[in-house]
Amino acid sequence: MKINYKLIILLFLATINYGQKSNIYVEYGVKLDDDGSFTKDKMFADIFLNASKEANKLLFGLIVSEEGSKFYEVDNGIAKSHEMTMAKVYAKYMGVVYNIGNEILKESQLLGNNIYTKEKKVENWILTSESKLIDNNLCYKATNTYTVVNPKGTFKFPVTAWYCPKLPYSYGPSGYGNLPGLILELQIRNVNYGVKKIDVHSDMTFSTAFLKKATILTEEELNKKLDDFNNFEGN
Amino acid sequence: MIAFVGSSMASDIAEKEVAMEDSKEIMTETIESILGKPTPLDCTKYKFYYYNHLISQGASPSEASSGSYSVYFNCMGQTL
Repeated sequence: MKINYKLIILLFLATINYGQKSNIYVEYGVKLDDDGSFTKDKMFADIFLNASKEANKLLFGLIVSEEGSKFYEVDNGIAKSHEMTMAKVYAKYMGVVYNIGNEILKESQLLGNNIYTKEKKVENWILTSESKLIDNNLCYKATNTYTVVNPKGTFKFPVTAWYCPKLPYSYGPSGYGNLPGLILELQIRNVNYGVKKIDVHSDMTFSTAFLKKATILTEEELNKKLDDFNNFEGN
Repeated sequence: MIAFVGSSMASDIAEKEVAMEDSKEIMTETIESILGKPTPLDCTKYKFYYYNHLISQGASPSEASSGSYSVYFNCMGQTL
């Protein structure tokens, strides 16, 4: 029997190529609404308003692979400014967010490299029948609550996600997910993430090797470290 | 010494809130001086007050810390 080596090599290369393009890549933009809370104090209103103007320059990527997902800021070549940094603060982006297994790992860039907090996946979504088309995908509305506990008390803010069952990947921006479809739009309080690009045959990938050397903190441990970090002499 | 509040004890928080209120008047002057030529101490006070502003609006300690450090370094960039 004559073996067609050329055909075998072509099939092998095609398999490798197919394997490399089996991931999903989604790009999101962000918009900050003024709900009055950050402009109420006139002394600081301009900081929020200037950050809102710069927020539209930010781009975030979401890679979905067999490992889970990685949400990160895309380097789009635009020079960084104080206003853009503040836009990220108001957008609640503190660093890269991984969704792996049943856990959400959030980078805390302020404390240094490779420091993460571990949270559980977002649960208790309220699924509704309300729907709309996003980028020609039929998406459904789900709602939830975002809770912040800080020294001033407990704050609860609304979360709205538009997920698309046609894209059966339970991920989204900023660690949100656990819905029966990819989240293409997400509103957390006054922060709106909206899809700009979807590639369902992407060669984008990410590694979880960092986990071997990462420092993983609980929220309590993070807050304790922030207390220590924020202490200063001089007043 | 003024310590930023994160997840401290309630008594500490009350004490620091008083400090924050005391600093409000000073801060108005500080903001005005930042428009001119702030001193490093002005920036430190600005950072403290901005942190508390974000916390009072429901920001997490992590967001408030990041925000206050960004305004601090931006302020320090304007000092001589």
